[in-house]
Amino acid sequence: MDRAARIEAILAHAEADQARHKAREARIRPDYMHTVIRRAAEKAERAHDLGTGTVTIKVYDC
Amino acid sequence: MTPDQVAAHEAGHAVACVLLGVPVSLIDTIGDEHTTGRVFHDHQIVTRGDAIDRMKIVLAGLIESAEHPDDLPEWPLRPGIVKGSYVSDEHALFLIAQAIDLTEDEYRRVVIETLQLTTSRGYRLLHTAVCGFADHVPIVTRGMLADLVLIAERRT
Repeated sequence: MDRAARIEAILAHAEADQARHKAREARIRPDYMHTVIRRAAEKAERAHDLGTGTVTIKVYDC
Repeated sequence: MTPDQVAAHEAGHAVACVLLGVPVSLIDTIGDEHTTGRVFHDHQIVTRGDAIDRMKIVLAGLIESAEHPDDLPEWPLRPGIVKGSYVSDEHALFLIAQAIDLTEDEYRRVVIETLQLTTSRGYRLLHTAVCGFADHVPIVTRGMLADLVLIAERRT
Protein backbone atom coordinates (compact mmCIF):
# COMPACT_ATOMS: atom_id res chain seq x y z
CA MET A 1 0.00 0.00 0.00
CA ASP A 2 1.45 3.40 -0.85
CA ARG A 3 1.97 6.10 1.75
CA ALA A 4 -1.07 8.21 0.87
CA ALA A 5 -3.50 5.27 0.90
CA ARG A 6 -2.02 3.92 4.12
CA ILE A 7 -2.36 7.23 5.96
CA GLU A 8 -5.84 7.88 4.52
CA ALA A 9 -6.91 4.48 5.85
CA ILE A 10 -5.44 5.22 9.29
CA LEU A 11 -7.14 8.64 9.30
CA ALA A 12 -10.48 7.15 8.36
CA HIS A 13 -10.10 4.56 11.10
CA ALA A 14 -9.25 7.29 13.65
CA GLU A 15 -12.27 9.34 12.55
CA ALA A 16 -14.51 6.30 12.88
CA ASP A 17 -13.15 5.63 16.37
CA GLN A 18 -13.68 9.26 17.29
CA ALA A 19 -17.28 9.17 16.02
CA ARG A 20 -17.96 6.04 18.04
CA HIS A 21 -16.35 7.55 21.11
CA LYS A 22 -18.34 10.78 20.79
CA ALA A 23 -21.55 8.86 20.24
CA ARG A 24 -20.97 6.83 23.36
CA GLU A 25 -20.12 9.90 25.40
CA ALA A 26 -23.09 11.90 24.20
CA ARG A 27 -25.48 8.95 24.26
CA ILE A 28 -26.70 9.87 20.81
CA ARG A 29 -29.64 7.91 19.44
CA PRO A 30 -28.37 4.52 18.11
CA ASP A 31 -29.70 5.02 14.56
CA TYR A 32 -27.80 8.30 14.22
CA MET A 33 -24.69 6.75 15.72
CA HIS A 34 -24.82 3.93 13.17
CA THR A 35 -25.17 6.42 10.32
CA VAL A 36 -22.09 8.32 11.46
CA ILE A 37 -20.07 5.14 11.91
CA ARG A 38 -21.27 3.63 8.63
CA ARG A 39 -20.15 6.74 6.74
CA ALA A 40 -16.76 6.62 8.43
CA ALA A 41 -16.49 2.91 7.61
CA GLU A 42 -17.32 3.56 3.96
CA LYS A 43 -14.65 6.25 3.85
CA ALA A 44 -12.16 3.84 5.39
CA GLU A 45 -13.03 1.16 2.85
CA ARG A 46 -12.60 3.61 -0.02
CA ALA A 47 -9.19 4.58 1.34
CA HIS A 48 -8.30 0.91 1.68
CA ASP A 49 -9.38 0.19 -1.89
CA LEU A 50 -6.71 2.63 -3.08
CA GLY A 51 -3.99 0.36 -1.76
CA THR A 52 -3.08 -3.27 -1.87
CA GLY A 53 -2.39 -4.00 1.80
CA THR A 54 -4.72 -5.35 4.45
CA VAL A 55 -6.42 -2.94 6.81
CA THR A 56 -8.87 -4.13 9.45
CA ILE A 57 -11.53 -1.53 10.09
CA LYS A 58 -13.21 -2.22 13.42
CA VAL A 59 -16.19 0.08 13.21
CA TYR A 60 -19.20 -2.20 13.20
CA ASP A 61 -18.85 -3.57 16.71
CA CYS A 62 -20.62 -0.70 18.42
CA MET B 1 13.19 -0.71 10.84
CA THR B 2 14.88 -0.52 7.45
CA PRO B 3 16.96 2.58 6.61
CA ASP B 4 14.07 3.86 4.47
CA GLN B 5 11.64 3.42 7.34
CA VAL B 6 13.99 5.19 9.74
CA ALA B 7 14.31 8.09 7.29
CA ALA B 8 10.53 8.29 6.86
CA HIS B 9 10.01 8.21 10.63
CA GLU B 10 12.56 10.93 11.42
CA ALA B 11 11.45 13.00 8.43
CA GLY B 12 7.93 12.85 9.87
CA HIS B 13 9.08 14.45 13.13
CA ALA B 14 11.14 17.05 11.26
CA VAL B 15 8.48 18.03 8.72
CA ALA B 16 5.89 18.41 11.48
CA CYS B 17 8.36 20.73 13.23
CA VAL B 18 8.75 22.84 10.10
CA LEU B 19 5.01 23.13 9.51
CA LEU B 20 4.41 24.01 13.16
CA GLY B 21 7.12 26.69 13.06
CA VAL B 22 9.65 24.83 15.20
CA PRO B 23 13.32 25.24 14.20
CA VAL B 24 15.07 21.92 13.46
CA SER B 25 18.82 21.79 14.04
CA LEU B 26 19.59 18.23 12.91
CA ILE B 27 18.00 15.08 11.49
CA ASP B 28 20.06 11.98 12.28
CA THR B 29 19.11 8.72 10.56
CA ILE B 30 22.12 6.78 11.84
CA GLY B 31 21.18 6.65 15.51
CA ASP B 32 23.11 5.16 18.41
CA GLU B 33 22.91 2.22 20.82
CA HIS B 34 19.45 3.30 22.02
CA THR B 35 17.70 4.57 18.92
CA THR B 36 17.69 4.24 15.14
CA GLY B 37 17.54 8.01 14.63
CA ARG B 38 16.76 11.35 16.20
CA VAL B 39 15.54 14.82 15.34
CA PHE B 40 17.04 17.71 17.28
CA HIS B 41 14.78 20.75 17.50
CA ASP B 42 14.32 23.89 19.54
CA HIS B 43 10.74 23.39 20.63
CA GLN B 44 9.90 24.84 24.03
CA ILE B 45 6.77 23.84 25.90
CA VAL B 46 5.35 26.89 27.64
CA THR B 47 1.62 26.70 27.02
CA ARG B 48 -0.87 23.83 26.72
CA GLY B 49 -0.93 24.53 22.98
CA ASP B 50 2.84 24.03 22.85
CA ALA B 51 2.40 20.68 24.58
CA ILE B 52 -0.17 19.61 22.01
CA ASP B 53 2.13 20.75 19.19
CA ARG B 54 4.86 18.56 20.70
CA MET B 55 2.48 15.61 20.70
CA LYS B 56 1.87 16.26 16.99
CA ILE B 57 5.62 16.30 16.32
CA VAL B 58 5.98 12.97 18.11
CA LEU B 59 2.92 11.47 16.42
CA ALA B 60 4.04 12.48 12.92
CA GLY B 61 7.01 10.12 13.20
CA LEU B 62 4.84 7.31 14.52
CA ILE B 63 2.34 7.84 11.70
CA GLU B 64 5.12 7.43 9.13
CA SER B 65 6.09 4.10 10.74
CA ALA B 66 2.54 2.82 11.22
CA GLU B 67 1.44 0.05 8.89
CA HIS B 68 -1.94 -0.32 10.56
CA PRO B 69 -4.26 1.95 12.59
CA ASP B 70 -3.54 -0.12 15.71
CA ASP B 71 0.16 0.74 15.42
CA LEU B 72 -0.51 4.23 16.80
CA PRO B 73 -0.55 4.51 20.61
CA GLU B 74 -4.10 4.06 21.87
CA TRP B 75 -5.83 5.58 24.84
CA PRO B 76 -5.07 5.24 27.69
CA LEU B 77 -1.46 6.12 26.89
CA ARG B 78 1.08 3.99 28.69
CA PRO B 79 4.72 4.52 29.69
CA GLY B 80 7.23 3.53 27.03
CA ILE B 81 10.98 3.01 27.09
CA VAL B 82 13.47 5.30 28.86
CA LYS B 83 17.19 4.55 28.63
CA GLY B 84 19.62 7.28 29.66
CA SER B 85 18.78 10.37 27.62
CA TYR B 86 16.63 8.32 25.27
CA VAL B 87 12.87 8.59 25.70
CA SER B 88 10.72 6.60 23.30
CA ASP B 89 8.00 8.39 21.35
CA GLU B 90 5.36 6.44 23.25
CA HIS B 91 6.81 7.53 26.57
CA ALA B 92 7.01 11.17 25.43
CA LEU B 93 3.31 11.10 24.54
CA PHE B 94 2.51 9.53 27.90
CA LEU B 95 4.47 12.19 29.83
CA ILE B 96 2.99 15.13 27.91
CA ALA B 97 -0.57 13.81 28.22
CA GLN B 98 -0.07 13.33 31.94
CA ALA B 99 1.44 16.79 32.38
CA ILE B 100 -1.48 18.61 30.77
CA ASP B 101 -4.27 16.28 31.97
CA LEU B 102 -5.18 15.41 28.41
CA THR B 103 -8.55 13.71 27.96
CA GLU B 104 -9.31 10.79 25.67
CA ASP B 105 -11.37 13.04 23.41
CA GLU B 106 -8.52 15.56 23.16
CA TYR B 107 -6.02 12.82 22.38
CA ARG B 108 -8.20 11.45 19.59
CA ARG B 109 -8.49 14.97 18.18
CA VAL B 110 -4.71 15.46 18.29
CA VAL B 111 -4.22 12.17 16.42
CA ILE B 112 -6.75 13.14 13.74
CA GLU B 113 -5.28 16.63 13.34
CA THR B 114 -1.80 15.15 12.98
CA LEU B 115 -3.02 12.64 10.39
CA GLN B 116 -4.65 15.51 8.50
CA LEU B 117 -1.38 17.45 8.70
CA THR B 118 0.54 14.50 7.24
CA THR B 119 -1.86 14.27 4.29
CA SER B 120 -1.50 17.97 3.39
CA ARG B 121 0.29 18.77 0.16
CA GLY B 122 2.95 20.89 1.85
CA TYR B 123 3.78 18.12 4.29
CA ARG B 124 3.89 15.44 1.59
CA LEU B 125 6.23 17.42 -0.64
CA LEU B 126 8.66 18.26 2.13
CA HIS B 127 8.53 14.72 3.52
CA THR B 128 9.37 13.31 0.09
CA ALA B 129 12.22 15.79 -0.26
CA VAL B 130 13.69 14.99 3.17
CA CYS B 131 13.41 11.22 2.63
CA GLY B 132 15.04 11.50 -0.79
CA PHE B 133 17.86 13.54 0.67
CA ALA B 134 18.30 11.18 3.62
CA ASP B 135 18.85 8.32 1.14
CA HIS B 136 22.19 9.93 0.35
CA VAL B 137 23.06 11.97 3.44
CA PRO B 138 22.28 10.37 6.83
CA ILE B 139 22.78 13.64 8.72
CA VAL B 140 20.62 16.55 7.59
CA THR B 141 21.70 19.88 9.06
CA ARG B 142 19.66 23.04 9.59
CA GLY B 143 21.01 24.58 6.37
CA MET B 144 20.33 21.48 4.29
CA LEU B 145 16.77 21.34 5.62
CA ALA B 146 16.28 25.02 4.80
CA ASP B 147 17.21 24.24 1.16
CA LEU B 148 14.75 21.34 1.09
CA VAL B 149 12.01 23.59 2.50
CA LEU B 150 12.67 26.07 -0.34
CA ILE B 151 12.52 23.27 -2.93
CA ALA B 152 9.23 21.98 -1.51
CA GLU B 153 7.74 25.48 -1.27
CA ARG B 154 8.44 26.11 -4.94
CA ARG B 155 6.24 23.10 -5.78
CA THR B 156 3.29 24.13 -3.62
